[in-house]
Amino acid sequence: MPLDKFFGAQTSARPLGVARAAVGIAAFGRAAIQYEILRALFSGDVVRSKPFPWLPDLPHGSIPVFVAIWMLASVSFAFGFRTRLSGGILLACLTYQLVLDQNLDWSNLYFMALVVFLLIVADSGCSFSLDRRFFRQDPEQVSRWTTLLPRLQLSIVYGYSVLLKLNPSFLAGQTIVQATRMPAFLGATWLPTLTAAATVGIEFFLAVGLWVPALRRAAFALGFVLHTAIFFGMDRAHTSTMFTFGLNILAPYVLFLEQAPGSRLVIWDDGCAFCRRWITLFRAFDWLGVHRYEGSSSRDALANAGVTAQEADAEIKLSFDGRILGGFGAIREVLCLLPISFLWAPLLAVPPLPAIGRRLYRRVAERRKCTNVTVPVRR
Amino acid sequence: MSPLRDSLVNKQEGQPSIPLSGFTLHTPSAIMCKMRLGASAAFFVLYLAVQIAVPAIQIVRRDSNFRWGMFAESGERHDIFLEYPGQARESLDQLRARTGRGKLLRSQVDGALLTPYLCSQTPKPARIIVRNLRTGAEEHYPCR
Repeated sequence: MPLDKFFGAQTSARPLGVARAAVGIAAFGRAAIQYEILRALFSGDVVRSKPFPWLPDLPHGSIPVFVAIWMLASVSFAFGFRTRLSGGILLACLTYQLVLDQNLDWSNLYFMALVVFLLIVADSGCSFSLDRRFFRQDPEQVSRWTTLLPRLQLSIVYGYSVLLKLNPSFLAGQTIVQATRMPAFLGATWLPTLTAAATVGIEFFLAVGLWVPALRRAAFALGFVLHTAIFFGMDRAHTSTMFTFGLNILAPYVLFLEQAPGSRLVIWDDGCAFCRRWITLFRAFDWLGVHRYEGSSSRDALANAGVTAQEADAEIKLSFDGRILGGFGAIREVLCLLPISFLWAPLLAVPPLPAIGRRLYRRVAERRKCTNVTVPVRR
Repeated sequence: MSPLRDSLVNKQEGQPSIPLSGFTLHTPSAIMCKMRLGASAAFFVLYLAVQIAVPAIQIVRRDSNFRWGMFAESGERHDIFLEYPGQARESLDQLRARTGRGKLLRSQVDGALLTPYLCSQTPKPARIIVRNLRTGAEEHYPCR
């Protein structure tokens, strides 16, 4: 039955673990920002706007304790230590603020609360976590539908954001002028209107493109560009908030990397110390475990990939889905699946970067210093 | 479980039920599995329904909360006044200048919710007036 299949399907828990770590870091940063905001709110200088008057304010002098609890829960959540408990505490801190006062009803705080909630539901402590290291031996698998919800949430956010931005004020660039650091002399040009239109276009593309495999990498890159631009471009009053929001909203992007662990084979010149350093680096950041790294001295690996030892010694090879990529193309493809680079690596396909990359790779490959000793790298 | 039913149920782990002449017998684990799937489906659908419906309702109601209008609109702009006994009015900006109080951390809050705070100022206002700058319409909230 399709419904059984849909809700019974399992997937790797690693992307979920990576997303959890990023959200935990964002939540930690948010706690630091919120300290000053809460102080201002409770000082009596702010016009209080309490939707639930019966909900008590924090006792006098307890803001540091509240923020410390929030920070500890964030760190614990990021490291995946007692993930459901720490996530629950973090969610309680976020929810308390959201319902306490309308002054704190920010979309970025609301989004953070929703994502934390979904990561708790999805059992994000299953992988890439201290829970896994110390307490768990079950397979690193989670129900796939739980990983769909944070992704769908992204599309809902972008979708509604586009809908609401389709108003004369925004499209005329008024918000861009008011909320960004755009110099005053540019405010009177066509640039604010163009920026507003581009923002709407990119957000619409993100709402849809993330779900289309052929457009996904472009969506990753555009999402990265959009949120980086928001971080650098917004008024300084919003900079720290936009950093945590950017990290928080980009975190669920990693859930779209659904390649099975060990499904891609990287063959490299294991007689080369220089290459070894790079492979060690790739392995260290391959948190999703998508790649298997095999030296060119491995006959089995060469036979699997269908390349010769000479070809693999000449340039790094990547074998996946019946395709073989070499050199710069292989490096770019590997970067496209590493959690630290998958958002910006697609930009390496934008001309003239491939031509520059290929030339650079060839130059480095020719000048590298290699030993003749073959030492197997840990897999 | 009856002997007949017992004999018909496949006890092998991972095979929760066996089809038998057009009907199916379910083991407890199969029922649990079905219930779990049902709960998963219900949660999935309910969550999405809420996340789609809430912003839609907020947009229709022109409420600014929980609808992902991040910097999307400058919104309706309002002036807020404190009206004291004897008809004397003081704007929120004037209150801020006079007392250092009366800041807002967010550009859009529900006018009605501001009343308890503003009514608690000294001297005590008789009512709070929220005026829409575009339409000129005023909402009055008496201080009790």
